[in-house]
Amino acid sequence: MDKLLVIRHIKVEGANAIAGLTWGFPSMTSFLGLTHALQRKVQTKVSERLALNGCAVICHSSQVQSHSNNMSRENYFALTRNPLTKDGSTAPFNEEGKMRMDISLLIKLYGPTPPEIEDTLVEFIEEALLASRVAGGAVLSIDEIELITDIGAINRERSTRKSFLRKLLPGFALISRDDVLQDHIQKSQKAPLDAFLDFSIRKMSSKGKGDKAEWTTNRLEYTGWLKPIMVGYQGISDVYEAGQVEHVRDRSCPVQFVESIYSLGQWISPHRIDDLKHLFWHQEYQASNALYLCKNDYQPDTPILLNDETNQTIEEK
Amino acid sequence: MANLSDKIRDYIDSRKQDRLDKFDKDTQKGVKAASAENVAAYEMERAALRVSEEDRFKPANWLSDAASRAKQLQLVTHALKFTHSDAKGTSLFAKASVSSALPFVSTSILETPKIDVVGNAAALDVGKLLLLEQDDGKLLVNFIQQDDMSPFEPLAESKEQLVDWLAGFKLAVTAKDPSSHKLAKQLYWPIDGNYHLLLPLYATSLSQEVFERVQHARFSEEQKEARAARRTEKMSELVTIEFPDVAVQAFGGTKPQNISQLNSGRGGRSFLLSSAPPTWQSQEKPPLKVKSIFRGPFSRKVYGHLIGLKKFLVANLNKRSVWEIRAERARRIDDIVDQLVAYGASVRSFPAGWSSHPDCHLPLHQKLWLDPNRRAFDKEFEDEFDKKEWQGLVAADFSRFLNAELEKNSDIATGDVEFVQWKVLTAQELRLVQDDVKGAF
Repeated sequence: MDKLLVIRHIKVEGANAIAGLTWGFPSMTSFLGLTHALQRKVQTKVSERLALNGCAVICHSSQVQSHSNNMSRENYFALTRNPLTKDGSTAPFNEEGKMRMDISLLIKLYGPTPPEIEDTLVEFIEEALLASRVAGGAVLSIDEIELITDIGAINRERSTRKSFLRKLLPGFALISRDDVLQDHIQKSQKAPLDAFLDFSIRKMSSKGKGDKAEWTTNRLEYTGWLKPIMVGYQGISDVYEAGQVEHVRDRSCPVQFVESIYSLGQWISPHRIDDLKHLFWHQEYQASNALYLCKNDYQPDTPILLNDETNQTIEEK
Repeated sequence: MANLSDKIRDYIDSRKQDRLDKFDKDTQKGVKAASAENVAAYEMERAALRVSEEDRFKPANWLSDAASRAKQLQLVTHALKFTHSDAKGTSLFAKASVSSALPFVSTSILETPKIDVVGNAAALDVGKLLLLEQDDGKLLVNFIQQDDMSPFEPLAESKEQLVDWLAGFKLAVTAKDPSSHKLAKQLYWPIDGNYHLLLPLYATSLSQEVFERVQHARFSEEQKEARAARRTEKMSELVTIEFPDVAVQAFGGTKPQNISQLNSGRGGRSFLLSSAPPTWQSQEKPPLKVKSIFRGPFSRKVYGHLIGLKKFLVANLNKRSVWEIRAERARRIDDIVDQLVAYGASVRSFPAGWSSHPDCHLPLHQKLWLDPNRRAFDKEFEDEFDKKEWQGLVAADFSRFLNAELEKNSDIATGDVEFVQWKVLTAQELRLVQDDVKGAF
């Protein structure tokens, strides 16, 4: 990791709030798609030698345009009225979930950025972003864009890293927790789907207490804001050669039918991160498994408390 | 133990019965309407017609007809029309996946996915036939996919017929000439300087599984009983299950059957699971009318965390303080400190000077921490701020708050060694809080 674009507080209106079987935040594929689209623009307009690859998302605030009725405890999306068809009947449309969000993006940048192009690059990124769709929504404003040319210097020292990350508060960064899902499937011996759904369920059970019973919530043994997230696509057909599939937007590249795949993610407070690389997601294609993945390098670490000093204190007591 | 051949026969018989009942009812009207001299002729004609109707339902005849109609529908696990009801193109029956050892959730983790039917609603009877199930859960369609016609053999009149049927039924599970559509989703995925074009299809089988579980949690007798026990605070062997944050996505409007058969069964609804980040925007107002943020505004935010922490400490009170326990405890405190840091950051986003409101009863050091930008137009405030005493005071407030919370629990506050250690840990942790408070600007 050498350089970093820090884009603070992008306010987006009308972003897509549905990702496959999940709702409440756009899927990671949107942000990696945006990163790639920016790279294409940068390479044609600024410098062919620059690459944008990998991105981190911090959400400061978000609001899905939905309402719930207290009876059934379900949420419904606020829908748009669409123009009538030419014979005056209601046009068929599909329910879409929309949301407002205020996010910051960190985008990894590779390639030479001599001082004379630094300002150009930052200005260009701002213009390009304002004209882009972010997860299908329109960009209302961007607070600030900063180019950090030596990310290593920030990442090495705990204090500089902390102060860098603290500027991203209040907010939560999305990271992947495949490890928790794996662990839970193993320990619970449940079918994978049931283990996965445990993170979206509230279970309560009773304990005898005198002549009454006390009902308490059974919490899973995992801490943190763990949520199901969509992490990419799985091929469900062969890969067709270019031009073999009818009615596609591009007859010059291979085509594959896919379905969305899911795993667990966690929203964590960014100032808890021990290494900046834990925040980043990137795209990966695994041909052997027909997987199109958004991968994140998060490694659960030992909490800061467990340094030698603490251990000694405990041994002495 | 009925085998599949018998089930096919029974299925055709039941179709025949329905059809004949309808025929009798319809023609009964004709008999009544016919004038007296025509009745006999009419009855003759009616009987002849009835025979030809019956003939249609001879298994071999019906199956030949069904095989020829099978192409009008498709048995699928992934359907296109969920993307847009006017989209026309390929829907798929996904092959069993490559490897289920991957830590991802998709249709491939289902051992026996529920199969959906899309296509011409007039051919749905063929769909039902193909979904007939053997006692071990194997479906008729699975035989077709494996080119195994054994269930049909007793019903066929010739080898040729079996071959024709197989070819016909196969069309319901093979994607003919793959195609997408302008209303379908099509997206690029970069691969080493080139691209693949991905065509996502809606995983209706997976959606069905989630749907059934949510419905079970809501409407099953077992869950009703469990919830009744909870309401009346009675003991129960059962566990109540709730999906607290689901959203509903509807497909097909008033005609869910236009999308697919399973969608029709779901009443056009499917459930979405929440992946939303924790929210802070519930804080529409700064913390006014309270004497400390640790009495209300902040303590409410971490109520759940505190309960969890106390439970954890009580559960592990008398165990040797092994590394795992310490690590978990530290993690839980980390979470609470996170919340404090984030709370501070979110209050600081209110307009500078909010703490000068007459209703703000916070102690000065909390004001300095939560409204630093007031320094710009309040000299006295700035001087206090620069003394930096407030940092230690905020950290001490937090420490007292945490300890008071834990001491409420007599089990933890037995003055045992654990608690002493615990205070040491808290103090350590608070040095970090102080870091955060210091570094907030």
